[in-house]
Amino acid sequence: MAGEGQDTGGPKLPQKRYFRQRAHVNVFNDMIFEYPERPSQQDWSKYYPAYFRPPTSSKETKRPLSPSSDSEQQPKRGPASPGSDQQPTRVEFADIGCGYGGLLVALSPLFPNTLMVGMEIRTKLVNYLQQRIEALREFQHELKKSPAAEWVDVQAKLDKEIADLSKPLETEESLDNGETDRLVPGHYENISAMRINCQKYLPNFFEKGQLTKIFVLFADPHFKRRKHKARIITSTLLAEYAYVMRVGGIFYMITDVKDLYDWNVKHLDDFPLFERIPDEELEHDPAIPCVVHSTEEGKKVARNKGKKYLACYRRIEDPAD
Amino acid sequence: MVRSPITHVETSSQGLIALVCDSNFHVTNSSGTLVASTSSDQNGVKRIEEPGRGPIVAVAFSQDGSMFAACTNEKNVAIYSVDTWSARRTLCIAKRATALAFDLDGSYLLIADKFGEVYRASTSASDADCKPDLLLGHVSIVCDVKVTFTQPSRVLTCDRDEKLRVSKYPNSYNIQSFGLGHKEFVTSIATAQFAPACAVTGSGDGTIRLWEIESGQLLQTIQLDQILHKYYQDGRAQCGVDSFEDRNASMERYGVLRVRAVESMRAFVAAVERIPAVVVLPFNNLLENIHTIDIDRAPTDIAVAGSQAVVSFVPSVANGGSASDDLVVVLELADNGTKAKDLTSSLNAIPTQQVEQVSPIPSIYVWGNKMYMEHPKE
Repeated sequence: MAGEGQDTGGPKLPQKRYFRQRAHVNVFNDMIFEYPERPSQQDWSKYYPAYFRPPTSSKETKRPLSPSSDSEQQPKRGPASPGSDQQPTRVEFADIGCGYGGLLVALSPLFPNTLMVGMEIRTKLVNYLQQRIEALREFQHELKKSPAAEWVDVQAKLDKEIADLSKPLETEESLDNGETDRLVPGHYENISAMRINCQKYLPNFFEKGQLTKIFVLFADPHFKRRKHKARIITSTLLAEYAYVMRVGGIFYMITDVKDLYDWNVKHLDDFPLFERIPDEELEHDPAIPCVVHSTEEGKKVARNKGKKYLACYRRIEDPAD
Repeated sequence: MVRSPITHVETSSQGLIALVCDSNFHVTNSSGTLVASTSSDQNGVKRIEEPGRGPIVAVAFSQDGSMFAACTNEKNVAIYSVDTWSARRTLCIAKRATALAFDLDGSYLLIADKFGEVYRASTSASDADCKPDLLLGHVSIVCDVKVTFTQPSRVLTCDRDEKLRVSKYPNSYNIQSFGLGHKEFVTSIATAQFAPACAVTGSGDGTIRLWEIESGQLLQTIQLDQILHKYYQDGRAQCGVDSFEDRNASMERYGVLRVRAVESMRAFVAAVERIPAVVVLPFNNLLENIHTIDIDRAPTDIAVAGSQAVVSFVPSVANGGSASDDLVVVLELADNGTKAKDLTSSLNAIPTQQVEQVSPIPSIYVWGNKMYMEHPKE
């Protein structure tokens, strides 16, 4: 396996340098993907083994399991863990073009009862993120066995990471925001990644109105005019995002490319099923600091003192209905 | 000299039959008498101005039969008034069209294209300067478009990526449902007034499927190999030899070219590439008692006029086509599919384009199949 160092037996995080891939992919090319015929046929057990049993027979329906059925101790949830204590039964957040997965790793403990999936078309990045999540889960598994293990203060950790962004970078791996020394709510069992072309196959994975958050962060700008249809936000593709989103759900968009921001905002503003959320309202959204600061691309922009352009939209009822 | 094949057949609710032959089309009344044509060598009939340059790739009649639209490979669209056969509106579109459909009241023409987008253009001559509006888009080739008979209206689109999409109309940014289940490109959609809540689709995956429109629920799947395998067994299937171009002529395939409703009989009919037969699918909440009617050669298209099916053929294989080749056959669906001899001979008597050699009609799999399926080794 790529990225393996000397054998010490414990879990190991993958190293990014073995998983580089150029940024552009032609989304119109015929590529082989694994996808279900329809959402009800998707086997989520390999993505969230703590929550779903693998389908054993065609007749048995998939039932979610309790993620902490193997340990008595229930994580003490800090103030920064919204959401109910009900066990999630379906994915509610999708990070479209999740890259190396910085957003998911940061959001995971903030929404420990929410299943979130990263969708990415580049094979190597998906492999990296899958190994990264697997390693983080193993660290948590080891920590759960140790009576001395402490719980992380999620908010303090995030604040420190954001403060550290202004410091010079020692190694690229120190960018990693996964927790390996302390227990985190959710134990990273609620995040996963898949290789897929979202522009083609989103309705195969999600039912109408299933998602409460969609993230499109630092997307490929596709600068050339004739490539504009390949952009992840187009007037026609917004219909598919709106279809899989619940009314009241939030669409997060951020980029460091002003041209792309203008394009995205123009299309989102013109789209009847989305409504811009005023900036002051966003201050109370716990996902925003992660959206702005936690992605690998966002950190790179911060180090280069680049500007970031954020816009968030709420899925509303059809004004024509 | 040989006759160019008919590539599209379209019929109107008022009994007109339109036959498309390369860059020309010919229109007859219900008894097969030519009433108008774009071709200049038809004596005594109304000469229609051609829609533009290049072969015609899609045609449609409006619901009430008062308008006809045609689109060429060179992206010219013409909307004609049927009473005068004059163009009430012509326009140029940005991408190559794949299918046309009028909305129910005929106010707009919907134009689907290879870029995956569906535009709608006003059919009113007074809107000649208005550009068509973008209605919806797929990240794929849109293969067919239809407007439903339901109230409120829905627009149905199908694509090269296995999907049937149900969108509201005209607020088509609001997707009502997806019909998921086809395993390959979806070529054709049929809607029917006798079953307004349902749609029937045909695909390159060898199935015909019945859907509930509002929910996108798959109600039934017809596996065509079970019905049509006999044509491969007895060697009557035409596997792309001479008549049309198919990279995988040796594979047994059942690619649906077109499905249409037969309103007067509460049934659907389908034409399947290579298979010299018409598939009849009577509807009784589900598709039942499915049977076939043999025809002489593999079809290129099928349309329905009353209880008759008008089927166009690929060129004859045996002699590479001839000057006396039949181009179409008309079947009496209400009479076990017997040949409507008079109408068949009238339609075949229309003087159509003669060429030195007929170029093969490309198989739908040429554009429909994913490259990794057509060339698994590459």
